[in-house]
Amino acid sequence: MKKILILLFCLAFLLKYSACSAKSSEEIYQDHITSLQNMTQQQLKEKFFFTEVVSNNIPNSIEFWTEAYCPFEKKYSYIIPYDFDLVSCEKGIDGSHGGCTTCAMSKIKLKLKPISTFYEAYDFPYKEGQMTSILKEFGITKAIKSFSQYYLSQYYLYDFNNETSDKNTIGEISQIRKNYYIKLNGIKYGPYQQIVTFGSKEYPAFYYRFKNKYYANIAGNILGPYDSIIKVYRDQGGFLIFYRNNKEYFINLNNKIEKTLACNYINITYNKGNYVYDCLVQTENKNDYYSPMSHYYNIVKNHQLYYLGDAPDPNSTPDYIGRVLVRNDKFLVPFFTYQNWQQSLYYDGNIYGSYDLFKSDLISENNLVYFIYEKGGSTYLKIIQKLK
Amino acid sequence: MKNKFFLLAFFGVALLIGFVALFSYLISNNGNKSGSEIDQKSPYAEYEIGEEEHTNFPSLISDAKPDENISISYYYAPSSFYGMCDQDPHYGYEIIDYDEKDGANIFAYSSHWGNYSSTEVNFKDTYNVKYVGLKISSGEDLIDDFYIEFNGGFSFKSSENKNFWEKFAQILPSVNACSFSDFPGGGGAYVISSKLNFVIKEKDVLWFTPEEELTVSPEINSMQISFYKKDNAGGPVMITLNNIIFEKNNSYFFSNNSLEEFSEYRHSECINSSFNGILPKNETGSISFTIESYYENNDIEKFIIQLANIGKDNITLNKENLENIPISAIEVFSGDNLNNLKSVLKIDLGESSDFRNRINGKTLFSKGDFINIDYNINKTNKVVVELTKKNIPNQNEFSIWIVGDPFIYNNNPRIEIK
Repeated sequence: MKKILILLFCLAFLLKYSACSAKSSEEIYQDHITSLQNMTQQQLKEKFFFTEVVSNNIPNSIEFWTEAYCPFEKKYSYIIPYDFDLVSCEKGIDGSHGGCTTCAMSKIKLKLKPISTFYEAYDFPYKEGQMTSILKEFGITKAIKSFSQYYLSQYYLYDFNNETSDKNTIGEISQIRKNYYIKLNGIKYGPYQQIVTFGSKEYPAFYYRFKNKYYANIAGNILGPYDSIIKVYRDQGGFLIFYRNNKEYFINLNNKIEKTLACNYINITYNKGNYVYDCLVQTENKNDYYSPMSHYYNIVKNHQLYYLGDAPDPNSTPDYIGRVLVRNDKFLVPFFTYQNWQQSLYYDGNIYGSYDLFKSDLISENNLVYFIYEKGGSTYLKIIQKLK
Repeated sequence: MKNKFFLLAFFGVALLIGFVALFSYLISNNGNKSGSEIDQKSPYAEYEIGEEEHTNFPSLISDAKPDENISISYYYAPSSFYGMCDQDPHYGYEIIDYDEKDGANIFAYSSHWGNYSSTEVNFKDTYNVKYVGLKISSGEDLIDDFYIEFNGGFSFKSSENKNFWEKFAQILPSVNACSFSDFPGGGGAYVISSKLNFVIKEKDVLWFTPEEELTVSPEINSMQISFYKKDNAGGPVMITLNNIIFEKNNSYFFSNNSLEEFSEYRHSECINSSFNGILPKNETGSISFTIESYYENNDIEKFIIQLANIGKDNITLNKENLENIPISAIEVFSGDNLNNLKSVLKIDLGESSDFRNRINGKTLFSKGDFINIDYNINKTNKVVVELTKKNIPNQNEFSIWIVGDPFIYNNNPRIEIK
């Protein structure tokens, strides 16, 4: 009897939200394919924003012309729908293939994501008292923290879920006057002029200053000298050292050294052998007195630059940096488009949005990311679920 | 005859000058000793330079020129709250904020964030730090080692927002306090530092040279000089930075710029002309004495006197050490404005007082342990606290309580209890 009740509840829920814990990943994926197959030409146009279709093999793939630059290239880049992967992008002649006369045109080919990298995204109208039961259906136990208007106005997102290691646990640091020592795995290092520790007890790392040069100690291996070390990371995926030598900036990722791109602000986030840094590029706009600077917000993932948006207020003091978050071992970047005051989300290669307003923290649990947003005067609960 | 007279007059004048010089020498040498009560020998041997007189640079080099590309501020650290300004004789010397690990910093300017760190410097060129001249008017024999430290800051794109990040770096605390790696995204920072080795003493100025090579560049924005005392040394200390000599292409330079250009970031009401205060003999049994108010629902409900152990050992409060509190009473006034205050609380700190009874016999275990003695105040507005001071006869033994100014609630003055 109890099982029948649960089944009935799930069926009711399924009809309303197309999401129920009783459904397998394969079934959710298949449902998505079916919904694509059932789309009309107009619905497809609204989904892919094409001006002219080159070939239509939906649900598997589609090639079309659109009024945009290639994805992640610059302002007015094409945003790939979250359920598709980019196969190719080719720049066309401005205003061709049904685009507006001044529009940049691109020929884009997309293919459906395989189930192994597929995220299903759900948007539930927000109703007081119903959120708990929806979250419960997805196996979510964490409550949603409300997000103050103040934070948003400052474009500043604190990483509530950020896991910071207790620096004191990785080794015993002692000091005799200005000489510093560290005892790690039974070995005493020093004297140094300065010691800063990173990592965890399992994966310890520290950097130090000796004769006014900086060195990193990764599992007993000493790397350096550097003029300055900005960040050191270490975990099961290896290590990363962000350092400066002769006024140039470098990233050493597991002994592969690359010069960083010319960004105004770099805040590196590292996780298990991968890194992302947000890269703000400022350019002068001499023609506009009131907006002399433009800020282009990009992320650089493993040395590949992705344009995300124009961010944030070009007249503000740049104190909003540090927004690259790690959720479920994936990079998650909320970003803002200043011109139309819209907010979007980069998560594991996909872009979600745009939204008028994030209204909660970006929370993760059980391969899910979820948050509350506002769009067109209504409030929604967004749940992004990785199927595999 | 005339020649003899002139010869006699000449020798007479020479003898007189000799006596005056000898007398002056004795006086000045005696004056040097006056600062310290403790009989310890100076570690710094004096070097006589004869008739040549200069204080800007040591005689080890033939010349040094003022350079407008070098600016150094002289924001000396207050030894305690009262030390914010030149010593007021009414209060006497204050205990220097000395830490066994980090020593004592002679520079500090107040930043936007309310912390005190280093002093501002500015270089428009690159130089090597060659000599550091310190004048130690008092306590020379108490000090063991001097260290110098420079902080540099940079933005990732140095051509833009340079000013912002430089200023950001300036307000960071010393390297001992936090990691410069925590610079949030816009840039980074680094430190260069060295122990200072004594080289020569001339005209009351002790000249040191850095043990490590120190190259300063336009990225350098602040400087600190710190010192460690000898074991169990204690007494008055007065230090002034005489000069720093920089080298470039075998020529020597020193700062020619006044500190006014940095005044935007200086929040002190006044600038000390030297670093001065009493160096505690040791840190055992130091406690802080802080007065606070708790705010709840916009009303002040509690007036707190906090005693916190900031020393190394346990302290038991007893009749003897409580006798050394330099205040006999505290009176709390309240009102909407300072011209219309009403007395709302009187706390007697004297012998047999409720205050003494509440803390007598209590032990503050190790560093960080504290006792709050709280008093209720209802529905008050602004609070003004008046302290009734009393004389402490045995000041020279440093058995005094140092009381935080009640207007500055986050102040953390200290005292050694013997």
